[in-house]
Parts: sequence; C-alpha cells; structure tokens
Amino acid sequence: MAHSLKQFQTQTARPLPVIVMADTSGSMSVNGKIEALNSALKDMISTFSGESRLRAELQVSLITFGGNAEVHLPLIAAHKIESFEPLPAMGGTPMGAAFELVSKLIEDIDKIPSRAYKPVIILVSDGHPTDDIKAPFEQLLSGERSSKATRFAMGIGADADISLLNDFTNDIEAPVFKAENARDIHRFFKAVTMSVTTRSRSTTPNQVTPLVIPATSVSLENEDDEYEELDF
Amino acid sequence: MKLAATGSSVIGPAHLFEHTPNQDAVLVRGIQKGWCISVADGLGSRPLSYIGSRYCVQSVQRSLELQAGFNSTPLQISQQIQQFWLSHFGDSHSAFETTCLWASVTPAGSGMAAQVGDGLLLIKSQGQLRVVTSLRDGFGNQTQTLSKAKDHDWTSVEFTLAQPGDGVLLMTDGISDDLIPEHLEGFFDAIFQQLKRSNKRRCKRWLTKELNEWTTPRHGDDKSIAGIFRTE
Repeated sequence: MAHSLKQFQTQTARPLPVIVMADTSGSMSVNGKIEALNSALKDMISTFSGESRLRAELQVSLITFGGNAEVHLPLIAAHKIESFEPLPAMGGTPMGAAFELVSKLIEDIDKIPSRAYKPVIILVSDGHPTDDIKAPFEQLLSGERSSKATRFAMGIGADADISLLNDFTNDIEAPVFKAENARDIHRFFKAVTMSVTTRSRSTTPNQVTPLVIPATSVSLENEDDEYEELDF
Repeated sequence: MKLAATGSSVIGPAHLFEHTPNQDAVLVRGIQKGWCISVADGLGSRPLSYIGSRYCVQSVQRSLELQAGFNSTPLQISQQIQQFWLSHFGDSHSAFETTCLWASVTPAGSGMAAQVGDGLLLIKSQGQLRVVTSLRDGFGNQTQTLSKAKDHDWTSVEFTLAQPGDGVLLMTDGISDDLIPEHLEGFFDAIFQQLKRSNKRRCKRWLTKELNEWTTPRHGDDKSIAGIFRTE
C-alpha cells in the first residue's frame, strides 16, 4: 500500500502578522480621537476575519501605549477574535516601551515562525513620546527579524511627532499619513486593510502593496453621518 | 549497490488561479552511471523567473557533466552553474531570479550537494538524517538568489550513501515551509519506501499526486522535489 505524505504536512496556514501600535495616552481622549481609532480598528479586524480568498492567515496584535505599554491583544488569527475590547485613553505616551514589546514579539520565532510572511507594523500616535525611545527604536529598526517588517505610520492632529513617525516608516510610497479628523483615521485604516488583504490574496504575499488612501468624497459616503467633523 | 532517483514539480493553486506558469523547475538525470538532481524556485516577484529556474536546472546538468571526473568541490561546481546562468541572461538577469539546489551521486555512492536560497536539503548517510539547510533568519519568501550569491551564501556538503535507505532529498519552500519539522525523517523515509517498491516513473506519478493533493490550509506555492536514494 502506498504511503501518504499528508501526515507530514502542517495543518495551519502561513501567518501574515499585523501589529498595531496604538497611542492611548490621555490626549487621545479629546475630540473623539480614541473613539474613531476604536471604530477603525474594529472595522479592520472585521474585514480581516471576513476574508476568505487569502493565501495567508491574517493575524492581529494590538500593543497600546497610554500610561503603560502593554499587549492589549496578543497575536491571534483575525477570524478567532470574538469581540473587540475598546481601548481606553489615559496617561503619558511610553512609546519606547511599546517599541520594546513589538521587537520582542517579532523576534520570537515561536510566536512568528520563519514560514510567516513578513509582518506589518502600524504606528498611530497623536503626540511625543514621554519615555526614552532611542535604544528601543533603533533595536526595532535594526533587529534581525524586526528590520524586515513593513512599517506604516499615522500622525493624529497637530501635536503628533511627525519627524519620529517619518523615521519609523520604511515604505517610500507611503509616507506618514496626517489625520486631521475622525474621518481621516478611518481612511488610513481602510487603506491599510486594503493593502494587507490585497497582499495576502496575491501570489507574492511578501511584496508590499501600495497604501492608497481613499479620497474623502468616495468610499465613506455611507458613513457620512458616523463622524463628527471635529478637527484634532 | 543500487541507486534510484525520482522527482516531480507541480504548479501551486495561486499560479493556477492566475493562469501564470509554474515558476519552479526540477531535474532528474542519469549522469556517468550515477544521478544528478536539481530543484529551482523562480522568484514570484519576477515575471520571467519561470525561465530562470528552468535554465538553472539545465545549468546544473551541464556543469555536472563538464566537471565529472575532475574532483571538483561542490563550491566549484556551484560557481560554474552561476557563471553559466549569468552569462546566458546577461544584464537582464534580474527578471529571471531563482534559487538553486542541486545534488549528484556517483555509482559508488559518493555524493555532493549545494543550495543557495530558500528550500530544504536533507541528507541521510549511514542511517543518520542531517538537515543541511541553515535556519532561516527572516520570513517566508525572502530569499537569496543564484545570481547574487557570494561564495559564503552557498551551503555545500559531501557525503556517502553507505547503506540502503541513505539518500539526498531537495525541495523548494512550497514544500519545506509546510512540513512539520519533527517529521522530516518520516517524510524522507516515506519517499524512499515508495521509490524502493516501485520505479522512477511510478514514483513520480505518486509524488505528483501527493503534491497536487497538498493539505496545508491556504497553500499557494509551486512545489518541487527531487531525491536520489540507495535502494540496495
């Protein structure tokens, strides 16, 4: 009787990790910023979990930095996320500690195996770090595995540290996106969602798909009433 | 001593869906009463890499035929394969990028093998399985290529097929990334057993069926494998 090779094949899809670094400091609590971020993240996770034509398993982790840096959502397949716990906003902006958590996650081969497609890191912030970021930032940008991740960034409002966010991004076609209102936050996450799902449907899921920010006049026409036009 | 060889290459579901060619190539040839084998994986991001992978395995055969009887080292043979490939494609070679794995065994059971780029090279000698491929330091589908390889990028090995069941097995990452690491020896032995009880043609048919019925969820890559085994 012929042997079968099936017993030697892994029964999990290749992961494509999406790591969101979300600023949840006190300043995010004004002008509807944290509410817009929560809503956009919920939409992104929902879209990821509903996708069925993918060549990869989309996984999501949320790392927050507001008062403390912490893993709000450990890396998990999007379709296994049963409910999204809204992020609260309070305290300072310990971005450096958040960089450390992201580095630790990406360098952990048990959590992100070598068969995974290269991760995407999305940094969202409305202010300047309140801790020392130099060493953890350099570590993230130069780490053996973390340096290979695709990095997108969004600055919210006029107080965001655009210079730092510019240094963070590594996609020349996707510079820092500057959000001026709640609608912009949704536009950014729609673009990220589109980029990741397009990438994971393709025959080359490691190639970065351009971040195309939807115009304000299209795509969101059915959601016009959802967002107050408060500038940040 | 009796040697037998087998191999197969199948197009992955992702390329099938997009009506694009199999970007892998495989070679199984008799040479000087021994065998030579090769698998090559054309880079998914390069439009003509399916031509590059085919020319790669042809270069392996040509180089091994020319070097037969000259006591060349695996690295010298690899260098010649690279030279043949580069001189064929010239300045436009970047459109044809490919990985390269090859092996040869003489009728007396002396073997050599080498690899550059993703994929897996397994050797069983004196009953001991050895994973020759070094651990990947990044993520899936980020690979070194034949054209860019420096001498130190090649993983080379010389070995002896000392007893029945010994052999050398090469595969592209469409297979190796989906194998359970703890079961590599079982995978190796299953192919040996199949080849031992059938012949080259029937074993190829069986391998092709097994690769076409791959069970890892959402797998999309092309899959190629080739092996030489001592059967008696």
